[in-house]
Amino acid sequence: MGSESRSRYLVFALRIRKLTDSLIALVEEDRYPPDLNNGLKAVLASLAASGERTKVRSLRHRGSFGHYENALTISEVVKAQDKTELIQKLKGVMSSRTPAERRASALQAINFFDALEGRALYHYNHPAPRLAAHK
Amino acid sequence: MTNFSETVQQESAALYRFVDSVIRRCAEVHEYPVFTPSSEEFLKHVKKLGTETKEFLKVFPSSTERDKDTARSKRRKLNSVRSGWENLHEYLQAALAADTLHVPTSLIFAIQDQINRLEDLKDLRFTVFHSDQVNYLQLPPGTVKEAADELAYIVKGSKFPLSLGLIGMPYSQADGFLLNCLLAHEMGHVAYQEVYSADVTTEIERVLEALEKEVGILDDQDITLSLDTLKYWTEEIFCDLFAICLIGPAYSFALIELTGATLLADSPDADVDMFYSFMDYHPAEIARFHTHLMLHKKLGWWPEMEKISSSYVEVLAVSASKTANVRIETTTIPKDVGDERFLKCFWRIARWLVKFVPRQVPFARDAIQSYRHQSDAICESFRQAVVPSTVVIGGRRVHPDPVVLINAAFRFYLEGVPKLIDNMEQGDRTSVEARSSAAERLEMWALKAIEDCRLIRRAGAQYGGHT
Repeated sequence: MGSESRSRYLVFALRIRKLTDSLIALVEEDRYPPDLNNGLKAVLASLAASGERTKVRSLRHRGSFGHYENALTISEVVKAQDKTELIQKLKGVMSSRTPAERRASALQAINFFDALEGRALYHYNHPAPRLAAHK
Repeated sequence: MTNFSETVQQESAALYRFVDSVIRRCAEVHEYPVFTPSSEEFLKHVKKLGTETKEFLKVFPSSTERDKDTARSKRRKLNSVRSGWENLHEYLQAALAADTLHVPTSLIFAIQDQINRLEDLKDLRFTVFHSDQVNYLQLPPGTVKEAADELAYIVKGSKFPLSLGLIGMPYSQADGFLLNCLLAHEMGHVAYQEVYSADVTTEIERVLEALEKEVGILDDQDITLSLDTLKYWTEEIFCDLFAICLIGPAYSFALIELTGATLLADSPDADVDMFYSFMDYHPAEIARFHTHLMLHKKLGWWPEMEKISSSYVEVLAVSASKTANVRIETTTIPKDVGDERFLKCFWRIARWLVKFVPRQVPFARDAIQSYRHQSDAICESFRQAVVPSTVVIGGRRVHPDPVVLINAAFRFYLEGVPKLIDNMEQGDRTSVEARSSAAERLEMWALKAIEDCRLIRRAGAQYGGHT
């Protein structure tokens, strides 16, 4: 694994952590941080595309989450969970109407993001050749 | 059962101690050794971020007690913060080792001056760090800044200084000149990330969209991998071409020297197949040299280069005919696409770059005419063991431009060193040791001339052109 690719996993883990922190603010203070929506949308776009045919142009909507390392990490984590259900949970954070609903969906999203962060850090700490990681 | 609060306290303290031990190294920097202002800025930033991280850690354990449902996730944050610091740790010692006595300061400033002539990059400056790898090309610290900024966000710390780039060089090349011309490529990575990546990415996407029409839409991992692979290869070519626009053919010669590519000049292709392989993160060397040749011809350097009698020039000359034999060594190219189609994508972008890059560096041709007029005189100075800060041409005293000096020095290295040996006492041009020693002196004189030239220029600017 090149050092650039390895660092990408770290940057991904830290970006996910940023989103997790925002979700924690939502849970603990019922405060919706201004950058949370954009981050969630980028993850949702990556999640929806995982395992599907994807147009190159659509990668733009994923911002910094459009890198291969991120797509790979998401697909690894999604394998263990139900993708449609995960999408619903993340959408729930943005669409919940009551504080209790928001809290519940944010907690579910946090679990998913913790798994992403952990997997990205695993790749950062255990560099493997790209070929081994790909499929 | 282990007490959760106690464990978090323990983990926070351990991380606190780790960060403290890292930033203590920055605090040990005093008057000696001397660092460049940009390196000092980098070290100060690491120290500041470390202090901010420590403040964050002091209150972290109590923050985990606010809500039991979020406590476990919060605790995981320590892992990411630790990894962020481990990443910085890798670069800190390397930056501390690169004080001004251990980096080719005059060459670095000369290249930086060139970059600062570009309006969008006029404030860009560089921190140099040492690496134990004898390869400039595998030290891309591009994501270090990104990771440092993400870490800063998490601990509510300060952002990385604007326009401060990190570049790596092998620790053994501190006094060198020839191989250090490769630093122009490393600086190109920073320039690319700061200014040009958006335009280049748009072009890559355009090429991949054309590919989609041909082979259909790819699956998610395949398309992200294809885009990233092309981005890696393209960035390398961009940085090569950018380096040539900054310092001319010396960059190509330095790359040929580093890679030992002179074998290409007179070996059957099968004997030197390592130069034909596209890898995960780098295009094949022969493809790189071909793009160099295209640019040298476009800029007008090539007629001057052809006059140099050296196998280094032959490598570039044969590169065009040999690129048909390149291949992709990584099997991560999507099966639906195939290597041949993927290479076509690469070449479309590479040819586009040969036009795009010189448009971004409008002064890329400026040194050619001066080189044509001054390189003979500079080489004669080197032959006489004189630092060519000033040369006499047509009865006039001339202070050569750094880019002219860099290329004349490389020309002399390629074809003039035996003449320098002849001028030395008991010089033996068949001795490897004598040749190595002569090249070392040449490097020293070249760096001195570049330093003088910069001083003369600055004095000229200060005193209205009278130096």
